[in-house]
Amino acid sequence: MQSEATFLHHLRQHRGILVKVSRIYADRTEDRLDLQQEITYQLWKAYPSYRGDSAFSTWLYRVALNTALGRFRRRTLRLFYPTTLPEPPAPNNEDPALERLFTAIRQLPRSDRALLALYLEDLSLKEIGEVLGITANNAGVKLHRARTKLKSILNPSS
Amino acid sequence: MNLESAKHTWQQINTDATAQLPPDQLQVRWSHPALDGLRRQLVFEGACWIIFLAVFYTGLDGDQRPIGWTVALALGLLLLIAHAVAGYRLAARPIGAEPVREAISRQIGAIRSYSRVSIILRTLTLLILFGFLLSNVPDLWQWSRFWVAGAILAFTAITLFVQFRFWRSRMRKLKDTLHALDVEE
Repeated sequence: MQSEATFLHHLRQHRGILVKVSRIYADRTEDRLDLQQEITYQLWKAYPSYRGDSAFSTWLYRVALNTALGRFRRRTLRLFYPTTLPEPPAPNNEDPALERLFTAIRQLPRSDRALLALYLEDLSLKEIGEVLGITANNAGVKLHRARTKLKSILNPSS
Repeated sequence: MNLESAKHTWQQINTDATAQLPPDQLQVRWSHPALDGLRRQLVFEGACWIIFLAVFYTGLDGDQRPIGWTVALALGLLLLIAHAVAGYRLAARPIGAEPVREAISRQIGAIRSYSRVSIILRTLTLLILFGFLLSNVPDLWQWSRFWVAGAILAFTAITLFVQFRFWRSRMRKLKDTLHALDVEE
């Protein structure tokens, strides 16, 4: 059994993957935070089975994608009635290119989003196939189509 | 934007991730919001069923009804409570680190089994409840009262249909994703 401290260390190192997966599968900020929490829970549950055969980031991607794609409960809008006016939102310091990229990916089918996330992470076709459970050849063909779709969303005029 | 610059933008997130997360998200909790909500719902539902189970015999004149209907209704309510616990366990079950295609396939299998039991159990318990309520109505099996049976069957069919649609819509996204991965290109 691996220790909680080691798990937390690994998690903090690769926290970016949680941010990325939640942003391609959830539209609203609250849903993204919920999804990140759900992925963290699932990672902890799966951690005893991590043997180190693959990179931790690849293993984490597998659990994160399984969690995001395996959700079946419908998200409900949470209504609340504050008694005072909320503060104006803090200025968004995020790179506009990043927001554009996430928005474009969210327009694609759910399986294409997973393919593109792994591609953008620079995984090889063999690794992408292993994460998704398909052959490298099939991953290549599907990725080609997903990339074409993404390019046409990012550059609609070309 | 070309895909090479998209890759660069994407990989930048790894280094900035901590800054993008609010402080409470950096604390690891061994639960998650959907599970917390489900736990509250389970406690509420379980409490309602237990209260009903405790009062239905005296409140609904159980002593004047055939023992068979009373036992069947009590059993149905107990099974509904057990089923609610199974629903919580389904939501809390580890999804695992197997390849995505296998994980989704397994998830669909688990949800399908649960939904079948759910539909059958709720429909049966509803019919048993109707049977229990009508069990001491005199002359029930006369032609003039057959509209009661018709109304019960129509109501049960509607609830069956609603449950079926509910579960089908829940599984649709999973099935679409699995289908997209399954198709060899």
